Amino acid sequence: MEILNVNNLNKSFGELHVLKGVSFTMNKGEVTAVIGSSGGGKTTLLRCLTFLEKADSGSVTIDGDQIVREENGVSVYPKDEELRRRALKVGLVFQDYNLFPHKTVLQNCALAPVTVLKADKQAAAAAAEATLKRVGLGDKLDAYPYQLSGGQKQRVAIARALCMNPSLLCFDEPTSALDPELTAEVLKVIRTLKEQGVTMLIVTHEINFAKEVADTAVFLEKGVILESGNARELIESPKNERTKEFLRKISE
Amino acid sequence: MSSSFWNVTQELAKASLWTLGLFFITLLVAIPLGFGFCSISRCRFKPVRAVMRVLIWIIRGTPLMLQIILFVYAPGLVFGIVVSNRFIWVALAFVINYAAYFSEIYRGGMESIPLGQYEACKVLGMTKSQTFFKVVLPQVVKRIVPPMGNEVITLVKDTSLANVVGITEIIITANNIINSTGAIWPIFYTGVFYLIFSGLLSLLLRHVEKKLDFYR
Repeated sequence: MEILNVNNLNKSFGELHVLKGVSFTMNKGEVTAVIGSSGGGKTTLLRCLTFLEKADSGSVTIDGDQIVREENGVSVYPKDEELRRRALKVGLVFQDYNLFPHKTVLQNCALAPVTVLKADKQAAAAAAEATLKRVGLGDKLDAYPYQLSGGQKQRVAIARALCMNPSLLCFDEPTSALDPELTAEVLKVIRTLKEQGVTMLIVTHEINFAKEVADTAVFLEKGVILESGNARELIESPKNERTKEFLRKISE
Repeated sequence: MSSSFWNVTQELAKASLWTLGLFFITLLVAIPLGFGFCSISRCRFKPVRAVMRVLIWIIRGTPLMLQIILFVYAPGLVFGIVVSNRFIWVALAFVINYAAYFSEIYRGGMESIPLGQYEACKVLGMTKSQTFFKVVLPQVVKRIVPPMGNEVITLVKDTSLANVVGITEIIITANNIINSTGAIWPIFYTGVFYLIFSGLLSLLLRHVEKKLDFYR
């Protein structure tokens, strides 16, 4: 079943054409890694898919719902309130966590289910606790973000996103603010989520991790997908010259 | 009038009621009014924003004493309104002056909240008002308590400026005692009143800061 369909997405910031007709699809339970050099448009792509940015043209369909459609070569978005509701299908884990510092770990996870989904407070707390146990933080429920390590913070951020039951969970370089040891614990959680069938789109610089965990990979360069396909094949034996050059450079 | 300690204490205590009244009225009205000023100065419509910023510049850029004089004399001179109760106009000058300062503190507090907090709320599907009340405001409150505390302590002392238009606050009362009895010490004794009041406020503010110290 198709969870994500991105068709001919374009995005410019002023003169700068960041995404130039990006198209790809993802199936349920699939993990896709987006790789490529800095400034290639990876983060912009993710921000368009999570509606933090609005694309100029192209369409986005998430879990069968065409949230962004194209009309006369221009992307058409629903009205703010409707977009907010329909965008709940997609979650995002930020590079720098963006946890709520004045809320405990449990409250961070239960806030949106209670305020947005109008979940019962106790039920939301119980669900948040269960989710936090899934990411190995069952003993940190009442801690505040400042008391946590970077890896723990990022795992809270993952749990917070999961608590909204998104059809697609996006990660924007989830480990680039972490040292290798902490990176390992976050990657371990992502691995577990894959086993549990969570559909994930991950922008990452961790090529070995992408190779091991992702089903498919997308190589994005200067706003264009130069190569995509099976993650292991793409990373081990790339066909495109630029992909080869990129992979060679980062393995040095 | 006698310059006995007890007598002077009584007179100054009576005068400090005006001071306290001015203090509490100013805080009670200026704290919410500052929010109004703040949202106008952050308005998306540029001309409105510009007018508010100029107004704040004028209020912050001229002495409060001048503003008090303006508020007490201008209604009569410009509009022919008879100012029968000067205290109300003095209080109005204080309220507007302090609202301008508070609005700038609020604005600083609002602008210090990282964009990532708003984005996190947005991807979680929170509305703008949920974002403001559940996430932004609690963090703003924590950040503005220390600068607000400074302003509040300053307000205690600024109330003495009301004597420029003859409000019988503490300093002018002490001055009157000097004039009628020749004893100098009551003017220095007024300091004790201010110290007690600002001391109590400092304790309260420290308590509030401690309450908000549960996170960083």
